[in-house]
Amino acid sequence: MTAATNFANGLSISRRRFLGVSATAAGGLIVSLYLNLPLAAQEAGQAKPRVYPPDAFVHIKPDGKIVIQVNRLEFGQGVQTSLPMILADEMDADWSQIEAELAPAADVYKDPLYGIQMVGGSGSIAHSFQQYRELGAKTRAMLVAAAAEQWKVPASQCRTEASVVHGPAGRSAKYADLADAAAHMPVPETAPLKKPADFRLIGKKVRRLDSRPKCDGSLKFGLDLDLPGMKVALVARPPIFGASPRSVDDKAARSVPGVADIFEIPSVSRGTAVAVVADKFWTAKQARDRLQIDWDLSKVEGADSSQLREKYRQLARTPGNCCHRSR
Amino acid sequence: METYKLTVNGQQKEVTVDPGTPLLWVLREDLKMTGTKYGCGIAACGACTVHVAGIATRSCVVPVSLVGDRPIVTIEGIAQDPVGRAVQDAWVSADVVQCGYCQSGQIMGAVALLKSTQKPTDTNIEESMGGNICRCGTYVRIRQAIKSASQQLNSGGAA
Repeated sequence: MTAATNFANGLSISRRRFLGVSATAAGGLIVSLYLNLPLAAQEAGQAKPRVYPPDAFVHIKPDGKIVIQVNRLEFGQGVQTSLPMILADEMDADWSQIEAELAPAADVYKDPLYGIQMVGGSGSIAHSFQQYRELGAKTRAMLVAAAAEQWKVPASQCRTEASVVHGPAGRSAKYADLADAAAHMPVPETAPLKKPADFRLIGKKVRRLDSRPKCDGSLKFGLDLDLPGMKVALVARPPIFGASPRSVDDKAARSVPGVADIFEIPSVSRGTAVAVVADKFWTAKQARDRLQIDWDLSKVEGADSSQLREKYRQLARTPGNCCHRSR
Repeated sequence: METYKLTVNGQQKEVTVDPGTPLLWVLREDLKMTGTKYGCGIAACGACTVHVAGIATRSCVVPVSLVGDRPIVTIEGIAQDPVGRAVQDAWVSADVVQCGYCQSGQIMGAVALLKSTQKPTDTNIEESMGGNICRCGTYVRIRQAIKSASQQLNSGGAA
């Protein structure tokens, strides 16, 4: 896993510059600590963000709201609440001000262990617990550093609670007010993590962050996406893994008004499927129902348990990715 | 293509679609109201439940041509109804949702139940809500939330 430790000195400067730019563009702190680019690519100066703000995890807004990017899909396991809890705990953020966003597609949001952006295998917390704790701790350290610099005191004399940094002589500053200055602080290579006894959120019961929009119909699921001029595709999938059409009669399907195109595509599970593209779902559905497909099953893979077992044995001996190494 | 005048959440809407288009797709694609979900498309899961003339209806199998002048209420409009509001609040208080995909339909089903049966028993709930499937298995909290909404409504707590 690539962490801040991988930044070369020269790169840290351009990194700081990026953070500064982000602060101006968004009005607040955007902390981005995980750049999963290979070192060679970073040295070649390719580490600059391609799109704003895909490689950010934390955005402290001027109004005090803190938006945390969730690098997983929420499909009921509660990760839209639990990952923000972990980050917010280490960050000492005010939980009532936390908002969760599902992250867009970008390298930095890949599962640290699997190396791809995915959710599954009960891996969300197992693989990202350490990652989100470090993100929270480093964000907190940058906020503390900003306050310490402002007050001309050592960072060790500052403590944090509920989105506020407290310093000596009763001084205090809200995270939101420190965000711009914090964005110009160097990303620390390491930041101390809390002792479990000091957790304020981890292990406690909190209300889900996504309840209300799921109860009033306002939450947008994948199927709810609507872009200008968007077409809808339905796929006639092979009835068996590995099957392909021997012949497709799409005459009746193409006669349905609103059908844009019908063509063969590779099927996810090998073989070939037939895609119907139309202006709307119902049009595509009617057209798909009218397809006459003669499926060729001759290339269908026969599953063999002993062969599969041998394949798994070999795979188990190959090196994998390391997510967390305990000391 | 035919033109239909629909009353959705108290508002007049006009759509020009194929008469066989299910109400679900008219709501989602023509009226851009995506709170009502597409699950199975064969009235077997309940995700697409809306109210048509007050009756919980699987919108995925009702052709728009059969709706006529019956008023339609969807998840987007259910908060205008005191029972609907109480059910939504009970759902949030009990943290019923997980993935949430079926919950629009669950809530529409629960509101219809509470309108016909003020104090539903477990059996009433199971019989009435049995056709609303939840992959996450939120059934226990659904039952709690329906009872809590019922209590709230019967204590005169709903505004």
